[in-house]
Amino acid sequence: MVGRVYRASECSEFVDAKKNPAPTLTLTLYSITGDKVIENIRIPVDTGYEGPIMLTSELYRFFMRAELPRTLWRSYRTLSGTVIMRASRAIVKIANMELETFVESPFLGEGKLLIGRELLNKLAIIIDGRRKETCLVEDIH
Amino acid sequence: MTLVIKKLNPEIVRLFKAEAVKRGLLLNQAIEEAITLWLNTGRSVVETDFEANNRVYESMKEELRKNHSGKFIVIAEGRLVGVFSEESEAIEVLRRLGEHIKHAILTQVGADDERAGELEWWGGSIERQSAQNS
Repeated sequence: MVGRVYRASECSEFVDAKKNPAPTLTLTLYSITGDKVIENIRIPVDTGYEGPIMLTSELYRFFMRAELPRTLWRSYRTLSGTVIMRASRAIVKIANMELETFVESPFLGEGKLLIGRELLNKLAIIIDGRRKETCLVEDIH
Repeated sequence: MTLVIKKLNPEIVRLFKAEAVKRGLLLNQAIEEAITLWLNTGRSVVETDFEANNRVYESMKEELRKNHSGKFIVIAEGRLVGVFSEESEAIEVLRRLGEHIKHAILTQVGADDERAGELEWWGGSIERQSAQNS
């Protein structure tokens, strides 16, 4: 058995859903040119989404000045078919970390706010369902 | 008349049906409206920045891969603005292009190609909903 101790540093409350609240992370998004687009927004964590950050089409338009060519966009297989996502470079700030990443939004449809595995895999987080909090953590040695 | 169409993308059909319901249209009315709109705009001579920038990229991509692999390129206003060794240089150029630019392409030649492909979104972020609303 692995014994490991973590210290929680920054915590975000879950957001309400129909029945079961969803884990979130709080982040600030900047365009690649450094303009702040949205500050301290709580975005649901979705481990089923393999991409980085999904945005609504309304928010995504602020990132379209650094978009990838259409032929380099990804598609995602879902239970109900394939979704093509446009993608742009962006900067995300989580707690004290600043990372260059991509933001995505469906080419057709409105999209939603989600954090996917491409970003989650760069972080250490704890999803504490009983406290209804998601926390960034540091190892205690 | 009756029309049967095969091999449609089910996601697009689902979105189309939902939009038709939202607008209070029957499916045949919505399809007629969409066909009319497409026929009218299809002849439009106005190309959006999005279309123009992607057209330029497609026309140059082989040359870019051959001669500028690993470099950053910026395409805006339907032209190649520049090829840069450092991302920071490309970003600075984007910044200087001005606020009126609503769409531009920034890509690292070759490297961003590896990003493309088909990935998964397992459940498509399924949410609870009353069966009566579906």
